[in-house]
Amino acid sequence: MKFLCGLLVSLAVLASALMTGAFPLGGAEVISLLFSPETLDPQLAIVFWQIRLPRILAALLIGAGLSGAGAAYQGMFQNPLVSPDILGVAAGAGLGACLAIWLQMPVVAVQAMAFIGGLLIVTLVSLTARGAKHHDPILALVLTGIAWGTLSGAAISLIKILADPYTQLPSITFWLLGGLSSITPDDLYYAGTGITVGVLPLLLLRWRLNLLSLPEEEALVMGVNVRHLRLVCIVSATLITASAVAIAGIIGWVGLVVPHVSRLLTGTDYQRLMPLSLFCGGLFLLCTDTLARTVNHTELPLGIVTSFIGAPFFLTLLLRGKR
Amino acid sequence: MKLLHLNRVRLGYSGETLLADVTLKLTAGKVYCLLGNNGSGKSSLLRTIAGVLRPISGDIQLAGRPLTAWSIKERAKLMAWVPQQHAGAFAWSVLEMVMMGGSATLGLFAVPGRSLRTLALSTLARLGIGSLAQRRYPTLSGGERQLVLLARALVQRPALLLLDEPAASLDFGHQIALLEKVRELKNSGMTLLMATHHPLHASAIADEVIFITPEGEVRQGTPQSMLNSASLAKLYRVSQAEIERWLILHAFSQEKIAC
Repeated sequence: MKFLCGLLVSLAVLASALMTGAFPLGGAEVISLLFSPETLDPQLAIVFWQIRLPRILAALLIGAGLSGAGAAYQGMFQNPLVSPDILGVAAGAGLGACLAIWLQMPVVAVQAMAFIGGLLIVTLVSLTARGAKHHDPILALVLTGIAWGTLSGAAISLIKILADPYTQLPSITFWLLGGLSSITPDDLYYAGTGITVGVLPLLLLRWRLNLLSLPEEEALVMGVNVRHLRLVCIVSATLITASAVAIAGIIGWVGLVVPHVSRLLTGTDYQRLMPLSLFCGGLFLLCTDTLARTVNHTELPLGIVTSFIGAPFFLTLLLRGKR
Repeated sequence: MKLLHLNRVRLGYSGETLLADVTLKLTAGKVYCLLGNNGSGKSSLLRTIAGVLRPISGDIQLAGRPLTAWSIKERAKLMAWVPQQHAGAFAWSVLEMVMMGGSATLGLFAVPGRSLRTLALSTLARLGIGSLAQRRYPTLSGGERQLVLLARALVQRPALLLLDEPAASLDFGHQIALLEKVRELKNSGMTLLMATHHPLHASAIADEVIFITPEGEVRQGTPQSMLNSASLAKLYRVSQAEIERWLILHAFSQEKIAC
């Protein structure tokens, strides 16, 4: 029953994403575009294949990736409050990417710099949180994450001031706003690879992620090499976040809330939680992105729509759901 | 057969010595009870044996090989550890929690199958908490959590089971059931090392008793030689007369001999 519901909702979201937009398409047109594109107006085919489809795929991939990464971070830091943005990973990745844009590097380098920035911040956050021994570990982690995130934010602002106001600044500002409007098939190719490479280990190791949320020593005595496992998960989740940030800017909220919604739906076991987080995340971002580009003549920033839909939905679930 | 041998082990945290010279020999198939004051280092000794606290110096042999020579996975099939209960960060179901004890038997990418599920359920049932299987672990009482952690360790099917004050938050009925379970496990060939605050428990089930004295010495001996009011008085820094006034150890010892 639940499965059928999910299937129907996802089909509806996917269909409306394919059909709506600046060039509305009918169902028959979409089908013929997908299977025999040469029979239709070439301009329509370009819009569909070069703009709309990459954007839909990007929304699915980024939404799924950010949620999967968020679920992994929450488990391995034994802290349901963390997410790529709260841990400062997103800000770190943003800083790396801004630096790359400022230095006029190509797209691949922007993504690489985003990855390095994200990994650097997550390492610094976990090291300083471990060093702050006199505080509650969960609190220490969130606080150090916020502090390092703020520091990265300040560095981003500094770069904005130093950047050329006519060429670089607009592209940095536009990019920082976050959104999927400027996705090209090339972007999708690079970031899609990064996200897929990051999601795969998380999906394969999904049951083992459970053991990362136990106290480290217990998992060790139960036969799990916690250090290796954690390293794999941090690198994977950071690769996902960095790839997403590199092409879509900082999209907050998804990585924190979708894992929680999934946890309310299916429970804590990562064997089911990880696939469900990926699924819900992709669907959620596709849904919000479709709304962002259709409800108004000018496109709404994605972050606004994400928050307007996500927050009330989350609050409703929180009040109605049982633990 | 010697299952565990600690030879002149010095242990402690970040270079600071807690116990300077620990020598212990554990033979397979016996029950050992570890007694000592609060803060005397019982838990730390168990953690050192479990391999989560690195000894400062000295040599630990598990089943004839140095502890560090075992891979993490192999070691988990030989030895399990029941820590003191805690709340846990996430709302696991009891069944999920117990199934995690099977990690060492599963491949890296595997998810638990029917056999592990059955093993977990039957272990819960044998501990008398089968009805808790679908409950959320953090909503349980302290004693129930303790039993769940014991079930998780038993799913590892270890040769050596380390128990850190397993009776600490159990009611009287469950304490009796725990002692019963310990004897049953011993009869199945398992070796148990149990830290406890109850000399009566030790007197009821221990084949050998290990003391951590207030001076930081570790002594090993028979229950008869160790569990008398004179040596307990020294161990817990109370007077012999007080112990004799409040506890009747010999009654339990005689019962033990009778059965």
